[in-house]
Amino acid sequence: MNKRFFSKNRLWMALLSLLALMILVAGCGDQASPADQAPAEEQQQQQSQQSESESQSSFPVTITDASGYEVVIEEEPQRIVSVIPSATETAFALGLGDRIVGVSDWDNYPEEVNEKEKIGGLEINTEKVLSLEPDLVLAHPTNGEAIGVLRELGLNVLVLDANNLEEVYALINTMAKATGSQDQAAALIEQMKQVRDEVVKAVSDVPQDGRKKVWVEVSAELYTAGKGTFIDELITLAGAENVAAEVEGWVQMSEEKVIEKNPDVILTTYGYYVPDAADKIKQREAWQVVSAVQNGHVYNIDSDSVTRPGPRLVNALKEMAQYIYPEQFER
Amino acid sequence: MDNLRKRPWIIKTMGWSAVLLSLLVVMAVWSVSTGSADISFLTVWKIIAGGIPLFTSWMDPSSWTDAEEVIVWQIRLPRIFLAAIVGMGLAVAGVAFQGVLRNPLADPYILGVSSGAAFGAALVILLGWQQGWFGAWTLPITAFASAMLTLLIVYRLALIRHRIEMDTILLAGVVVQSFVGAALSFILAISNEHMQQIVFWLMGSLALSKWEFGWVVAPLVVAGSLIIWFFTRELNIIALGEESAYHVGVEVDRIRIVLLVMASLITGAAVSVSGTIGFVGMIVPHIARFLVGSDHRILLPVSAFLGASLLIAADTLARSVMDPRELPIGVITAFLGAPFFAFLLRRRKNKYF
Amino acid sequence: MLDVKGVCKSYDGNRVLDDITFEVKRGECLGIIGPNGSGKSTLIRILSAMEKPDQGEIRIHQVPIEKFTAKELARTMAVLSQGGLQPYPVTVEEAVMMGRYPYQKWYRQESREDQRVVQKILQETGLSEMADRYLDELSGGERQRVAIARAMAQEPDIMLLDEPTTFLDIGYQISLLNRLKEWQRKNASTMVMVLHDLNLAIQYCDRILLMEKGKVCKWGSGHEVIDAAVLHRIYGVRPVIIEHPQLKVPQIILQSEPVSS
Repeated sequence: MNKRFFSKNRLWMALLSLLALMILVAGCGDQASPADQAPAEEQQQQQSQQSESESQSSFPVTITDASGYEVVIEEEPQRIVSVIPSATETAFALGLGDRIVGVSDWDNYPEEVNEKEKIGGLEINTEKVLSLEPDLVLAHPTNGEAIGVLRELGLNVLVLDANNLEEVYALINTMAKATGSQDQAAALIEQMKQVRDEVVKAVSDVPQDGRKKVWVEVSAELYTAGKGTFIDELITLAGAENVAAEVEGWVQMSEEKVIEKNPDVILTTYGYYVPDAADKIKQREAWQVVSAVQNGHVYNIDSDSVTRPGPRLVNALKEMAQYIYPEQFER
Repeated sequence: MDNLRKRPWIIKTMGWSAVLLSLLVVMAVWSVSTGSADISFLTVWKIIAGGIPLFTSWMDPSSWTDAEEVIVWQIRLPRIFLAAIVGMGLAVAGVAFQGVLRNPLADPYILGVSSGAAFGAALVILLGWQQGWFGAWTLPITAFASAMLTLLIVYRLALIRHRIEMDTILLAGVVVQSFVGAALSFILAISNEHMQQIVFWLMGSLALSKWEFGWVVAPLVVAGSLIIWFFTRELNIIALGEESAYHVGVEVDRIRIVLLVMASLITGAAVSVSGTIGFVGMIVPHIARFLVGSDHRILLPVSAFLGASLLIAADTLARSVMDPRELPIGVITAFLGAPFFAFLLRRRKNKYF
Repeated sequence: MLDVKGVCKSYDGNRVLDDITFEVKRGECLGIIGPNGSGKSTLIRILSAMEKPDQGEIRIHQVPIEKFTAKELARTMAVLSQGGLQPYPVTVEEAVMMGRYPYQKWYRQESREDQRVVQKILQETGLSEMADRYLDELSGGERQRVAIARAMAQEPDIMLLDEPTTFLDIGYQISLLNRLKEWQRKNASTMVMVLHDLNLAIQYCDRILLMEKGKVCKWGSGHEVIDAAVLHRIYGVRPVIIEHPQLKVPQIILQSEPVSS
């Protein structure tokens, strides 16, 4: 074993480790940037969606959807398949429930979806979709490849997406335009704005320095919702401060950070599949110093209404606000 | 003293152990002082001293907050403790597996122990049994039990005419692992909202560690490691050839079984509380060989200390690199491990590791 | 010392050893010869208790071999198998020390006695100056010397060698066999070795066991065993047999062409 041979290799080792670390750090940076750009693009798209939906045209209509695709709808759709629960909810709210012939396995709201044909969950069963002979398929960007496949099969696929309340209104308008239900859309949006304003008004006299800190726990592994999520927007609208506001999107937070932030209220969204989720948080040994645990302000909220870009978001907003500032709603 | 001089391995072991024990302490000090919560180095150590009965009276508890005390004593320290135990266990198991199978690519998961544990854990999560018969312990206990069950199946498959051939047991491991892997994929496919939790478990993490986890796993890991250490002389002899080992009176078959079972036991215990953390069990023995040579008597304790230090370091990076986010620790171990392994591959001078 | 009585062994119905009976007296050196496939290696495996015979028994010091524990057997009998030692990075001294394993309790490290024996053997086998070198840096011949030193460190009554001279040049072959004979004489030990080279077998062994198709064909001194007709039958060659000018034992000269008669 030659000494020089060794030291040269040690140097290589050091360089390699350094490289690995750099890639790691660079990777983290890269991850953040698309998320930064996304809202801007979205907004542009949103504007185009909005401007088109404003013109109350009858069929045929041409809509540039969230996937950037020009969807041409010749006549008013009578058989609609929704492969994403948020679209189903919105469609039902627009009174299109009777026209829906197929929904995804994930669909659970409103109750009527249980009587609809299921077309698959993670993997969309294209054969099933085809057999339902839909004249419109409602989808979301997360449906991914399936969108292209369905289009190639000659189906009219409308991809809908929204990342904040304003975009949800636009989404509702786009769907309305595609289905000829503009009047219902106007009423629905009006109703949503009313609930929203009611909440905002209720919490309006919470002083800036008296805003409560809220920790939203999406899973027991401390996944949470950072900036750019509906949850973050709703917490802000409810006049509170999201503990995870400094991070983007859905992330796993370090436990000590949460404890250091000392949230006043803890909201969990996984209570529907983990029994006693709130109680378990209250029992965490290390969390006994957290003010929310000390004061018992730990609540389960409905996961679907806070994550699905649909009409129920405002209900979730109200529910959250009532948990965070019960005294503001008692009056 | 004269007797000692003639046994250089004891001196070498003690010397390296002292060096690596210091490394372990340095890692632990760095780790406990690092984190997303902003607590100064001095405060951390005041809090630690405040928690040790002898020093309590000298410390002024009003100089830190309750939250800070909880962060140090109930979040950082148990996590470091568990990282050390798991790292030590995986490294020791890696040495044992590589030595017994005489295969430098062997790692603690080679006989399917980890996939067995993962299957058990996934099943518990899928069925929502986290608060089952054993309370918070349901998941670790089930993971451990299914790991041992997997080992039993592999062992039973490889047992032909009352003998276990090493090639056969490796193949049996592969077969069982792919079967259990398929079952795991099936669970994932039907897991819906539980998928994230299962994936989280599969990637391995030391987040949310509790003192109790460490205290339960430590005796298993330490006792198993000691037993393996008693057989390192035999491992050296086996390394020179199985047949020749038999001829100097080593009961090769029996010792191999004892070592495989011990190493799997340790692995099962580690995996049941931390998930499947990759690379440590394979890499650490190689780093140790690079430092101290191939004598298992030295290699084993050195790997144990090194494994503990490495996992503490990896976990500290996992929770601080993208602060306040947590990264899966497996990402860190693979990022550090793969380049290092590439380096070792280039350096290797013969086919015997 | 070593009694073999009626040993039979079959694999999948093929009889590999058939009623093998012989004995080796204390201080004697027995050479086992025979063509490939005559059952020599199987016999060695059974003699070293790696395998059990289907029938018959083997006794060492009148005690059936299966009564020995692994360590007891290793203290009584050292075996040098064909595999030799793998080039694993341990030092020569450590490798020889492994021969003391059967004398060590599981919790005890090597004793002074172990140290003394190892140093003595390193000296006797001329390995002292390479005691700190690693096995993986040695040549095949050097590793074979280490293997023999390790077997000697077991201080056995019987040494069993399976073709110890394979792959060695003639210089190594002779020095190795001389060293073994020297060791045997000094310790009054017993040796059993399988050899391919008939001439070496005749020169170094007191008695020869010639095997043919799993049976003992001949068992006796070199003069008794070496017979041109028998060798022709077994090996298919017609050897010329002459007498060694100094040792006065028969030696075999091979011919490239069969002698036309």
